Amino acid sequence: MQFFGETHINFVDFRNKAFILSLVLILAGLGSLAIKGGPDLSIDFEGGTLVQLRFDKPVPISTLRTIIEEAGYEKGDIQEFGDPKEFLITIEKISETEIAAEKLLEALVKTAPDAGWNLVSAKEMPPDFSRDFEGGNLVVVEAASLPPMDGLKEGVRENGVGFVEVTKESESRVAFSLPYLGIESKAAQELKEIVMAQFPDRKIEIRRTETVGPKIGEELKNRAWAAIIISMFGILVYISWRFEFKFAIGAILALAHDVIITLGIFSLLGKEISLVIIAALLTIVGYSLNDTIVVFDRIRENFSLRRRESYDRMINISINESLGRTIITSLTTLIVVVSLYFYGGEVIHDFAFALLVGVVVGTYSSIFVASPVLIEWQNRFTARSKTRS
Amino acid sequence: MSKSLRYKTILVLIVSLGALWFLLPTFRLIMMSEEERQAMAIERPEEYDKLESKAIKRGLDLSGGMHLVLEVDDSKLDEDERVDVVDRALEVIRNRVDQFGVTEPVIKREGSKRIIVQLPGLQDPARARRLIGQTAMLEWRLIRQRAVVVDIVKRLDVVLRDTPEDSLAEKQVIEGETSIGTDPVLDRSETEIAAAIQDQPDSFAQDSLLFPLPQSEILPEIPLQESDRDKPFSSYLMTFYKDWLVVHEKNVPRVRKLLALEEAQKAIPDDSDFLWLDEWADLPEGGRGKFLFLVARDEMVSGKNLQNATPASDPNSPNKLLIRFQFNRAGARELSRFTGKNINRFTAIVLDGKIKSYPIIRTKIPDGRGVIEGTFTDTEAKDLSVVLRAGALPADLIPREERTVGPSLGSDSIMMGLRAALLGLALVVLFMVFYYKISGLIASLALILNLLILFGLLAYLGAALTLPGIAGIILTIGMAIDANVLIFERIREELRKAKTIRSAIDAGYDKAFTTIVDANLTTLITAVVLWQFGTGPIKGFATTLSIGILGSMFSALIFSRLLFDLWTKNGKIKKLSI
Repeated sequence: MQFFGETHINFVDFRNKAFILSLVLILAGLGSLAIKGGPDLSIDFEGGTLVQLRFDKPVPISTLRTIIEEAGYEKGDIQEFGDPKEFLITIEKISETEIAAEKLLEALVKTAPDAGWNLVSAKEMPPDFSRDFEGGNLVVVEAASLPPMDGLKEGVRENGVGFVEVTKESESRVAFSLPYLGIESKAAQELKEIVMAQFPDRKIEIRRTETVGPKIGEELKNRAWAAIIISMFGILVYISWRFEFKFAIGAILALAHDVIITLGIFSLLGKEISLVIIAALLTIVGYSLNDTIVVFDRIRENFSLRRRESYDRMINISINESLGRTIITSLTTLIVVVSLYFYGGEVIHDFAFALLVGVVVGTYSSIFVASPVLIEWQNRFTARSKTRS
Repeated sequence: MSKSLRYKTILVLIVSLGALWFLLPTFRLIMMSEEERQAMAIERPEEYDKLESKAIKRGLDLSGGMHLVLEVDDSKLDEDERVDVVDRALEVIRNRVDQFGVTEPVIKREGSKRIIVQLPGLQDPARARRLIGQTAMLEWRLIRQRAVVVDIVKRLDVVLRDTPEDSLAEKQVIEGETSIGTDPVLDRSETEIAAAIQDQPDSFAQDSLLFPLPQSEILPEIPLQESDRDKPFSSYLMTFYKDWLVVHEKNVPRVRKLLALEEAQKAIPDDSDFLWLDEWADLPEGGRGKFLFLVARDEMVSGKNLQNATPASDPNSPNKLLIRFQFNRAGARELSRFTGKNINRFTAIVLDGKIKSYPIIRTKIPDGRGVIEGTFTDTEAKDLSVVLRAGALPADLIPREERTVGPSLGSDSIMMGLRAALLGLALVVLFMVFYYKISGLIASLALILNLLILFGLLAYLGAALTLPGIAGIILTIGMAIDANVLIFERIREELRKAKTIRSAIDAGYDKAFTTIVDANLTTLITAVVLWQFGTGPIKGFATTLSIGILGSMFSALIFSRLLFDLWTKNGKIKKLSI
C-alpha cells in the first residue's frame, strides 16, 4: 500500500501563489485582530469569573440570557456548552485597582449623568472574613449632588460593573467595594437561585467555577509571551547550530505564519485565547517545526549529494522526497486530533480546534513557506554577496 | 544472536518491565471496585495509602476540588518579620488543612510571596477560603478604666476640633454599615459625662470565676442633641457604661472614621487601642448600639501559647455555642500572673482585632482556661476551633486566583479523554497496519510501548494527570508514530533503489536517525519552555508531551529497530512487508 511513490510536483514554482494565499490568510487574521483591538483573551489573562452550570433537562438559552440580563449581569456572556443542558457563563472581568476605579466612574456617569462624579481614592483591600469580604478594591467617589442610594448598585451593575457593595459615607461621598474572589460562588449561588425561581422543577449543578484576579492575569500574559519568545529563540539557536542561519529564518517565519493564521482564525470565529490555547499554539510550533526540520534535513542531505543541481531544483526534489512522510504523519496526527475534537469533551474542544487548524497550516507551511524562504534568501542575500566578492 | 542485539533486547526488557512495575499500583487501584477500595482504606489504611501514593494521581480538573492562589500581604510587617513570613504562613495553613481532613492536599510556595493550596474533592469553597484565610489572632487584654478613657476622649475632642468634614471620608475603612453623615447626633455636655461616671450596681454572680456581661443592659437614657462643634468626638458618643463607651448605631461609622484619623491615632497613647465589641447591644430607647473599649497593649496574654480550643455549648444559654480554650504551661503562667494582678478588672477576649467578650476577673486563673463567646453556627465554631489550634497567620492573605471543579465534571472529562484516546489509538493502529502491513504492526507495538513508558514515568515521578495532560498523551499517539513513518519511508526509498532488505533497513534507520533527533529535540525545546513557564494545567501538558517525545525516540530507534532486526536476522524473508 502506498499513496505516494516518487513524486515530481513543482512546489517551488508554485511558491508565489502560495505566498499570496498565506498573505491573504495572514491579513484577514491581522485585520480581524486589529478591528477587535487584539485577541479575545479569556479570564486566564484578563481576570474575571466563569461559572459552568448544568441542568437536568434542556433549558432554552434565550430564556436564560433574559433571566441573567434582568438580574443585572449585562456584561455577562452566556453560551451553550456541549449540549442544551449545560451552559458557560462568564461574568465581568476583574480589574486592577486603577482600572476598576475608572470603570466604576464610567458606569456611575452612565447611571446618573448629572451628579458630577469625582474619584476620591482607590486602593486594594485584604479580606475581612468577619464581614464576608474576601479581598478586592475599595473605591471612594464623591458627587456634587448625590443621587438616591436606592438603585445605585443596580445602576452601576447594569452599566457593566457587577458585584459591588455600596456604602454611603457622607452627604457627598460613596464607597464602593469591588471584591475579587468569593464572587464566583456568590455569583453562581445567586444565578442558581434566580434560575431555580424561574424553573422550579429543574435541578441545577455547579460544575466548575474559575476566578482569576487581575494581577495573576497580567503575570500569566507576561509568562505566555516569555514562553513564546524564549522557545522561538531556542529554536533559532538550535537550527542555526545544526543547519545554517537562513534555515532558522525559514523555520521561524513558517512558525510565525502558523501562529498568526491560527490566532487570526480564532479572532474571526470570536473564540477566546486561554492558557490552554497558548499551550496548543506552542504545540503547533513544535509540530510545524518537526515537519519543517524533516524537509530541511533532506535539503541538507541533498546539498552534499547533488552539488550540480540548481538550488531551486534541489529544494523541490527534497520536498518531493519527504512528501510521503509529511502527508502520512499529518494524517495520523489529524486522526487523533479529530477524535479529540469530536470525543474529547467540551472543555478540550477549543484546544483540539486550535490543533486541527495548526496541523493543517503547519503542514502547508513546511512545504510552501519554510523551504521557499530559503530560495528567496539565497536569491536575495547569498547570491548578491557572491557577485560582490 | 549478535552481542548488540542481545544488549538491545535486555535494555528493551528492562524498560518495559520497569514501566509495568511502576504501573502496577495504578492497575490494582483501577481493578478494585469502589466498595473494595473503601473496605481496604478502612481495614488496611497504611497499605491503601501506599498504593494510592504510588498510583498515577489525578489532577484537580479530573478529581474535582479547589485550587487557590494566595498572596502574603507583608506591607504591614517589619523588615525582619518579612524574612520568613511566607514559610510561617505555609506552616499555619498546613496545620489548618491537616485538621480540616482533606486527603492529599497540596500546599506549596510559588515565587517569593505566593502560596498555592490545592484541596482535592473539596466542595465548599467559601468555607475553605475562610478556614485558610482567617488570621485567627487571639489576645486576652486588660480593659482600661473609665478615668483613663475620659482623659483620652477629652484629648480627642481637642485634637479633632479643626478636622475638616471632607478629610473624614478618605481615611475610611470598609464597613458593612450605612453611615448617616451629619444627621442629628447624640450629644451630651461634660457634666453629663461626669454624671455618667458613676458606678453601676454590680449584678454578677459572685461564685463565678469569670462572668461575661449580657449583651444588652438597661442603659441610662440620654437625650439626642445637635452636633456640638466644640466636641467633635464626644458629641457622637452616647454614654459610659462601666468602663466603656456606648455608641449609637447611627454614629458607629462616624466614630470609626474619627478614630482612624491620624490626629486621633496620635492622641491615643501607644499602650492602648480603641476596639469594638463584635456584637450589637439593644438600647433602652430603641435602636442598637456598639460598645467601644479602650484596651491595653502592654497588659495582655497573647494566643501564641494556646494549646487547645474546642467548641462547647454555653452553660447559661443551651442553644448558644462558645469555644473553650486552653493555654500551655507558659501561657497558663502568664495568664495566672495577668489575672492575679487584675482582680475585679474587666478584660477583653480579642479575636482578629474584635472583642468577642469582656469578662470581669474575680479570682486568679491558675489553669490557663478561658472561653470565647459569640454567635456561632456549628460549622463556624468547629472551624474557629481548628484555626485557633493551628495558630494565627503572620500576615493577611489576599486571594489571587481560585478554581473549583465539581466531581461530576472531573469524571466526565476522564471518560471523554479516555474515549478520544482509545479511538485515536485504534484508528492510528488500523491505518498503520493498512498502510505499512507488518511494519505498521511493529510501529503500533512501538506506540504501545511508548504509552507504557509514558504512564510508567508519570507514576514514577508522582506527576498528576490533568485534562491537558491527557490531550498531550493523545497528541503523542499521533506524533510519536512520526519517527517510524520517517524510517519506513526511508526504507521504502532504499528498497526502490533495489537494495537488499538488510541494507535497506540499515540505511533507512541510519539516514532517518539525524532527522528524528533534530525534529524531536526542537519539539522538546518548546515542551521544556512550556513546562518552565506554564502553570497548573499547562505543566501537566508539557510533562506528558516531553516524556512522549523521549519515549517515542526510544521506542522508534531502539525498540522497533530491534523487532526489525529479529524479524530479518536469518535472511529468510524475501520481501519486506512495508
